[in-house]
Amino acid sequence: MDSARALAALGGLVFVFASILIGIRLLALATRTHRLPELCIGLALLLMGGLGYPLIMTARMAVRLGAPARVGVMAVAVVLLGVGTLAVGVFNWQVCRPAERWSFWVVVAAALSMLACMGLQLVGPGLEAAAFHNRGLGFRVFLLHSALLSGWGAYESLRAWARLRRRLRLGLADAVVTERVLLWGIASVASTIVGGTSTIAGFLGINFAAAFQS
Amino acid sequence: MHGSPAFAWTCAEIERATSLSELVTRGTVRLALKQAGLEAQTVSGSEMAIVLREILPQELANRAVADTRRLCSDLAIRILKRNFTGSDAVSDVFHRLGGGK
Repeated sequence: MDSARALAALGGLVFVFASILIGIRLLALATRTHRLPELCIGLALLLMGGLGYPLIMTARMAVRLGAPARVGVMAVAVVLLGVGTLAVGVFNWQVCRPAERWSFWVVVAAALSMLACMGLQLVGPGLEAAAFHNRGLGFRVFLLHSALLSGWGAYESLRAWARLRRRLRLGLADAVVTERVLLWGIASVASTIVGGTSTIAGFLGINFAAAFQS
Repeated sequence: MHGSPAFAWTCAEIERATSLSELVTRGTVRLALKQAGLEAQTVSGSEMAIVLREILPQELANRAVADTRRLCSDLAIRILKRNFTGSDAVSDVFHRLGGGK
């Protein structure tokens, strides 16, 4: 059990540091190119993996902090995760389906739905329940949005990778770019699985943070 | 859905040179593009030239078109002179993400 915890902690730390490092690199690229895709993907990595999830863990696990501070940390995490999740949606829309109106409406619907989820959480059990006990339907469904938008991104990037592989045989694609698209697809699949399983675990009453507190 | 200028030009030229209908021509070119991992909406002239050389001769021969090698080779040479541009947002973006322009 202890080795499983250590492995999970190590995996979490690597994920956080990689998200911060790559997120900052992509944001620096966006300041040079002034293009939306790198801004979106950089924001998504930095705000979600680099800041949002660690702050959620802090709100849940830092029991020495006062209750108002933990709720405040959770509120900041929710805002960062919301913006990061939307950035994933905008990336999918702008890069993979720029000409299709439905993809724009998916992003708008996700934004409205996340606001509604947080409204539901606030009028219901409140942010305290989310911060202290991983409780509340609104909060759990809010977190599910990142898994759904990552799932969409995984589908689009793996589909693009399949096309690029066919082009590669005819010399119409760059091997490095093709591999990069595959890596993003794998990362998106992993993000979907992590987001989906943690949401399902929440519905089943499993609190992963509690395992680290005991 | 509309195709790119390279797609429209290729279909029009094949239609003119063969007895295939517009519908069959467009379907055949779309199938060839799919095999190459390309899309009718975004294919460029240089990409279409490779499809004309590598895939379309066989696809047209399957539809009983005669002398497809010569026809496709001629179209490939001509399309390159037209400088039809295309776009591929995914490739462009992921190229940039690695630090490219």
